[in-house]
Amino acid sequence: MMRRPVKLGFYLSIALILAYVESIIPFSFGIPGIKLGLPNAVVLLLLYEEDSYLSVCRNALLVNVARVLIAGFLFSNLYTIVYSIAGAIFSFVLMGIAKKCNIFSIIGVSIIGGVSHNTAQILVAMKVVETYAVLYYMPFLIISGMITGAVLGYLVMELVPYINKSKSYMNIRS
Amino acid sequence: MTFRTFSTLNKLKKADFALILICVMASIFSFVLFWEKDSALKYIRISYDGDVIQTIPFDATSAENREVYVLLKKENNQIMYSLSEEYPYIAEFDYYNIIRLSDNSVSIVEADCPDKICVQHKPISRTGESIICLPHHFVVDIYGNNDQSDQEIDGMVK
Repeated sequence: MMRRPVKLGFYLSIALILAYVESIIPFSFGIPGIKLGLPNAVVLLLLYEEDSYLSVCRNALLVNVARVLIAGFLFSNLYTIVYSIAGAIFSFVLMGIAKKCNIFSIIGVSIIGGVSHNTAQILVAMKVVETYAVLYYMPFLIISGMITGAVLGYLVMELVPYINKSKSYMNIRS
Repeated sequence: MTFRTFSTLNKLKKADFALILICVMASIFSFVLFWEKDSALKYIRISYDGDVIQTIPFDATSAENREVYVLLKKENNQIMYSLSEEYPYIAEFDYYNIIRLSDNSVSIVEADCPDKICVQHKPISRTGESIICLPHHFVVDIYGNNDQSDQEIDGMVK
């Protein structure tokens, strides 16, 4: 069995690499908030580990928060951290609840994550600048969150069986 | 390959399709709710912390290719703005955003905010569109002034 700190550090480093990859890909439609959300794939992977619900959630939340903080300081700045930590935590809570409901597949949970992340960011922006003008971009952000969420969910769905298989292999070895 | 794709689609549950439907409905709903008709008379509104500090008429139809730069700056806790035909000279301010108004679009060309999201934002020209600079609490948005006349016409039709 991989020790917990080693495993979480491993996942955290993958999330940071994905955050870096995302920061250098010029994927922008000129509307702030539309992005791939690649690091969310790691959170989803952790959420779908074969373990008790509580420990899985704890691991995913730890990696999620650490990822936002470190990636924020490495690739952006304090404002972006405040902005994205709201999205990260809100989407994490909704994804956790959606997983517990057990009626969605991974793709569904990922879509919920993407859409709720964008919604939370819009709400934070509205509060900070005290304007309703940003609501104009709401439909685009919902649709983009849905599409990127579905694509990531598909990737994670394909990955989960392999990862669980490699885990059982490691368990036998050690 | 097609077989693999099908096998993934089979893993989708009913709730997933319902969720996609809800998302599409929500985006259409918010589109209907927040989308504004592009009006003929347009104004550029610059606000800070929710307070309007300047409105400028914005005529997309004007043929002459004029460019006006608005310099927003914060100095000694005071928000100041200045209009000029030339690119403004930047001295030592607390912070600044430079907005460019050309004949058919508004964009922020330079700012010293840390995230530069406002600079990367696409130029806006439609009624309802906005650029926000979150770190500086600035909002630049376009609003139309024919809302009232529209309502009057609607009222008369009824």
